[in-house]
Amino acid sequence: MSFYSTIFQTVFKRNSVYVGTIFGTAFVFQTVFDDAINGWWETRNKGKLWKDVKVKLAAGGDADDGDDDE
Amino acid sequence: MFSRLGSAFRQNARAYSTSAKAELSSNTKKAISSVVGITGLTLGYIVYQDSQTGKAMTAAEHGLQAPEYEWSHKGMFDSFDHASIRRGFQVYREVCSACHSLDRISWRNLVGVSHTASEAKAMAAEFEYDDEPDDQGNPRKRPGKLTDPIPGPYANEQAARAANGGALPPDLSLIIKARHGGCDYVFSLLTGYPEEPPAGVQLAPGANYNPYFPGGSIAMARVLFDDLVEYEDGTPASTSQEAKDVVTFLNWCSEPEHDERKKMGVKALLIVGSLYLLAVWTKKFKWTPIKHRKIVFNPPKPPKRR
Repeated sequence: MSFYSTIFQTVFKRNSVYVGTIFGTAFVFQTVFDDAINGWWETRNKGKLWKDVKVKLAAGGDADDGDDDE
Repeated sequence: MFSRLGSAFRQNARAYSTSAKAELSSNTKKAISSVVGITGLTLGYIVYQDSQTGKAMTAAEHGLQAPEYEWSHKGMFDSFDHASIRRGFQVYREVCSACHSLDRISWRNLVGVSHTASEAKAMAAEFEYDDEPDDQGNPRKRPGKLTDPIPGPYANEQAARAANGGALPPDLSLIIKARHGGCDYVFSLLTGYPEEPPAGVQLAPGANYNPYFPGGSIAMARVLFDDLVEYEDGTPASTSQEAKDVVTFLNWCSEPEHDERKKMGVKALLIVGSLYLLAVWTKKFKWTPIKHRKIVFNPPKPPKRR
């Protein structure tokens, strides 16, 4: 069975399966996409975000003399 | 000057029209008339555009143009520096809040941005707020809660004006959005007070000179000085550091959605960009047979004659 007929047989043949696939893919895609963007965002802005600042404050205020970002 | 040009042109035109009439080719005439036409249209457009704007104010009345600074949150994908927001809140609390209110910010807004919940609760509890009256109807007070707004220094506008020689210190909640130049302007204003006003500047009693303030005469005096506050994280508290931190804080007050908005922008760009490419591909896919078909005319054979 060729690739296209496999796709057709498993996904597109029955409408219930087709719609279910759309919803399921959207759900999974959103999670993966949001996680990816969040990860990129937090790497890019590392040290400026509140969660990083909070850790720094808990560790003691004097620890960050060197790498203060202005 | 124009009249002389005009007479010269007329003389030239007369010269052309009398002596050289026969020698001018039609192409030369066309070139001359098109040059004249284009020049006239251009000049007319420039004069019209110039008439559309009026310049009633001098440069000093507009205020000095603030230079652009490289804010840590300036870029398209840059978040606020939350350590700076925290220091800036300290500057606001110890310096600015003596005169300026921050009506649209509640204590709860600071949680997860610059302070932990317990820190914000402790700060809110230092202030008293109106409570419900007791059973006899007497007004009561209670310590502040996270849901309370940050209290301003004055009860109302009249009190604020009376305490500041008639000038009203503006509310700072949206000040970065509310001023041309935003962060750059406020930073320049805070750090731009000269030692002496320039010669010839007449100031009203109680007014101060600041070149960045439109008109130059501002009721607020210079307030930020070196080592005015002591940062808990050990950052040297120079004047410009304090100004930078408080401006970052005020920018957060104006745009608390800033970080989330930029993150959402990345997502939107990616998704909408992919959908655009998909749309282009679909259009090409659907139009390919139409664009590439070949229409051939096969003339009917003439009927055979006998």
